[in-house]
Amino acid sequence: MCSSHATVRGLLHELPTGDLDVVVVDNEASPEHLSRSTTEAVDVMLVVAEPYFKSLETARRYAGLGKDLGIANVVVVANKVRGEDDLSAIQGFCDSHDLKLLGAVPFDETLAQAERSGVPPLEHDPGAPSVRAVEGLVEHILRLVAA
Amino acid sequence: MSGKGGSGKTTISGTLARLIGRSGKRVLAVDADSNPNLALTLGLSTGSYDLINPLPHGLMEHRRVNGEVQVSLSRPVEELTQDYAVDCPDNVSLLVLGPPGGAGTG
Repeated sequence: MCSSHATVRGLLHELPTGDLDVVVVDNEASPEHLSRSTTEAVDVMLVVAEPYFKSLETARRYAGLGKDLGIANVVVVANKVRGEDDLSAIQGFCDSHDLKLLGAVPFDETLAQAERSGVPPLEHDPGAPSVRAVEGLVEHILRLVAA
Repeated sequence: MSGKGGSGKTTISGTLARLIGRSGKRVLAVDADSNPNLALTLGLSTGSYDLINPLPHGLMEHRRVNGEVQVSLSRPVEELTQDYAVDCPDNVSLLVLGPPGGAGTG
């Protein structure tokens, strides 16, 4: 385990402090960040999956690891969903692997525009479909954190 | 937040952190990616990037307690967030972990 993973582990064990309600960790795209001592302090693991095979397989592996490590809430968030076919493919994959799909974020051209201009999605277009979809996740996630 | 490279972890993490912050919660966003990019999505202006002071390595210490090795932070976590976390919009503060490079600490 590299030392930044060890630091995340230490932080998560000692956070949140009295001043904080929620800690969001944006992880490395490798499963190395997952170990039992890190995940003990995690309420919810969100696994982002795109509707194509390699991404879903990766999501399945990460979610399996998270569950094996004892995280109570391991959920999938579908991203870059281009329509009903994409959504049903992800839903089918989740169903057949006993994964909970928490929500879906649509493919959103405004996000690509935001990226190109180096502006955060929330400043670029707060009403964008993708932003609205993430907004829809907040309540679900806070409910899982509180439980 | 986990997932394959390019799946949108950072965009979703950052947007989510801010929307949770807007709901009235105080949020700490931790950028644990070795190629840290979360600051932009969090709405930190590029001019403020100089304020980001990545959390140094070697903060974990091993202590032997009753013959058992325990690993913990060598400084109080409140002190670390005070010294290293940067205030962002929407009730969010950002902590960036330094890029890997040092020897593993286990």
